Amino acid sequence: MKRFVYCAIILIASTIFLSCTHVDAHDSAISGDTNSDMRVSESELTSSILAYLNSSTDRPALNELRESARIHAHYPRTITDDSPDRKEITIYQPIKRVAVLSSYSAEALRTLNATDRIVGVSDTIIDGCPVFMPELMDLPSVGKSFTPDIERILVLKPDTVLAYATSCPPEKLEDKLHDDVTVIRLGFEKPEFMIEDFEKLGHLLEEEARADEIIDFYGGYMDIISERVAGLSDEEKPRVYLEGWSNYHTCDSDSSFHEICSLAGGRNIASDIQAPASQVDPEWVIEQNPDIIVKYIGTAQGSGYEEDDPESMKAIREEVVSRPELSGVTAVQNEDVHCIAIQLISKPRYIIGIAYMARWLHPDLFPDLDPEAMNAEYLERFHGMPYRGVYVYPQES
Amino acid sequence: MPPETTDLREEYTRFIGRKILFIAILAVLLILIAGIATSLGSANIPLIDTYAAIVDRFLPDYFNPSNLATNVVWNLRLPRILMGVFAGIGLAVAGSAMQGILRNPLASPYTLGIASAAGFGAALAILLGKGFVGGEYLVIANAFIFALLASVVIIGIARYKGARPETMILAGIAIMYFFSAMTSLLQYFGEADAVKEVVFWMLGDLDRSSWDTLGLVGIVLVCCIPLLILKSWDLNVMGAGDETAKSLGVQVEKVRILSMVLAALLTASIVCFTGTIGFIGLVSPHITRMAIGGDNRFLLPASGIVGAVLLVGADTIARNIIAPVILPVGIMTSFIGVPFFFYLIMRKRREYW
Repeated sequence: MKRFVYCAIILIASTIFLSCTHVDAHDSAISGDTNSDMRVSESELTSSILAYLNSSTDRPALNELRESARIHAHYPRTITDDSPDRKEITIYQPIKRVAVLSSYSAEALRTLNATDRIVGVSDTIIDGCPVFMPELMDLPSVGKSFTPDIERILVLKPDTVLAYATSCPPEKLEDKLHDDVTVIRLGFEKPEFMIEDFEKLGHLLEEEARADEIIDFYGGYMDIISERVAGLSDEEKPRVYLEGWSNYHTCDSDSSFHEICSLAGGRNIASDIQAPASQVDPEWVIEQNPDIIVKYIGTAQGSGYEEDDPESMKAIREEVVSRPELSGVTAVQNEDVHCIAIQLISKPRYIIGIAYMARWLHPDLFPDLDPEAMNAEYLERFHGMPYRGVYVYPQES
Repeated sequence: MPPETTDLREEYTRFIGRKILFIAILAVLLILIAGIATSLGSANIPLIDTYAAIVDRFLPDYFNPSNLATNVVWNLRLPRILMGVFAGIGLAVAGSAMQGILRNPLASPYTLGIASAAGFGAALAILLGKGFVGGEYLVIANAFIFALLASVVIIGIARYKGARPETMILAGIAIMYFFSAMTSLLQYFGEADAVKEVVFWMLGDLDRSSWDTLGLVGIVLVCCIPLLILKSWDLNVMGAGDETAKSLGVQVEKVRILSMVLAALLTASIVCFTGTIGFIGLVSPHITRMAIGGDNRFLLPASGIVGAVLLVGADTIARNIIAPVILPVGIMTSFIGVPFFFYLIMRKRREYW
């Protein structure tokens, strides 16, 4: 009797186990792929079509057949992502369910008309952009960007997870997910990745045309700016002191702020410093005597799309201008002190940050450049959102 | 026997004289280090110009320092160095007093949770923008109020349970863990840049020094330190145990709570401007005790000056070692203080407490 009970338990357990794996296998199966090579070959497609026409008992549904044809024609698709080891990513069927950890990628997904494929977002996205991306606010959370909640991700059954290039190591993400969830790491963190990342994401989502549009927008302005800046000698490039969130924390040559400054034709006085987010001696800033000071303002400090009151940005700028030790510095004497929202120097909106910077650094070279109009175009054309927010202080008159 | 009495008295005077000499030498050393610190910095201002800029303020028309020198010396270096002096004195005196009150060599403003409470207050202000007052004093006021809050809790528990040293230390450690956990929680949910700022705040630096903050800290020092020194006789007696002190007429619990209040006020008013500069409050009293013994009348002022020397010295190195990058002084104090402290522990064979 006892033996019988044991046998029954083992039998039930293994049935449950097998049925689970079976369901999993079924989930990841590719419609029309009969030999499980992850591809729909011509003969596989032909036999599916014949089965459909023959009205046999295992006749495929019409939408399954359409899917098989699409996969046969367009897949697999391969890119290399921006993870440190440049991982090669191949997807064998259309991306349908995406969990997004990186707010940059969420922004890019909307630009590529793929918001409806998002099934879960990180807390960072939910907390960071309630006004900018309202349609994501009701989606389930998958935890924090850097420490995602794997169980919640699995419950949502995504086929793809979009993560930051480096933050959140594989031990916390890839290693814990099934193989049938593809983790793609895109590095929208820096301007240099912008164009190729839109190409890659557009390719994976079959939204190449839309990707080309944003690349044209981005690249078009980038070309204008770099063309006009290219002729400048080093002496003609103003020397810029870039300040981060807290006083006298500057941005070294690894930062995207530095890159934006160089692209706009400026020389970062801290480009030789080898310490990220380093605190510098105010004496050194005085001695360097920068021509322009640009400070970035965090979203929580009162900047960006979510904010509509420029007061706190104004107060921060006034604090910089009124520092007694900086009173003799050229930038302060000429009132060439600017504040810019962090959203314009990170995320896919760099080009607008670069444009603002270019106008501040070289007003004569860029009389026709209108960063505010660019921002409005970006928001309306690529996000369908009305222009609003606080991005720079002082505003140009 | 009269002759023996005279001998003892002479010996006592010599003994006291040595301690006063120690304090005097330290004071000279402090002035020297502060003087050197004023002449060092990223802006390469000639030595003569530096001092000309200082003297010029009092005797105009004799010297003609450059604008740069006047600006750098008066707006940047002097406030910073004086804040180093004040903070060093305040933290070290508070540390000595706490070690005396609690009869515990590990007591310091940090082990009692005051600093982590201040850190939590600052984190709350930086990460959530919430606090008791708005504007530019948000972080400072928050740090100050939470530091006092932690002390009030410890003192409240102490009053309720009879102000025994063990109770206060255990309550302090519990408070420390509580506020550290609260800060970690806030950091976990914070925006990356803001979290970084909290981390920098916790490391402690003298970067936010200005003449206004110096004035405030100065007032607190002038009010608290003399009162603590007045109580140092009582602290000496309490060193022999609560029962002995009580039988000698010391109101042990009253003295303990008053001194705690003063030490907490000192710590809170410094920490809220500098962030949590560790180590000074713990180690300066020990260094001093090894040099001149545990008599609180001398220990308190002497350890104050030791603290100031350590902090100003450490900050000068922190400012110049990889200029123009400034290392947080909280890191530097430990780098400099720890080897020196080890040396003293190894050299002294007798009991150092």
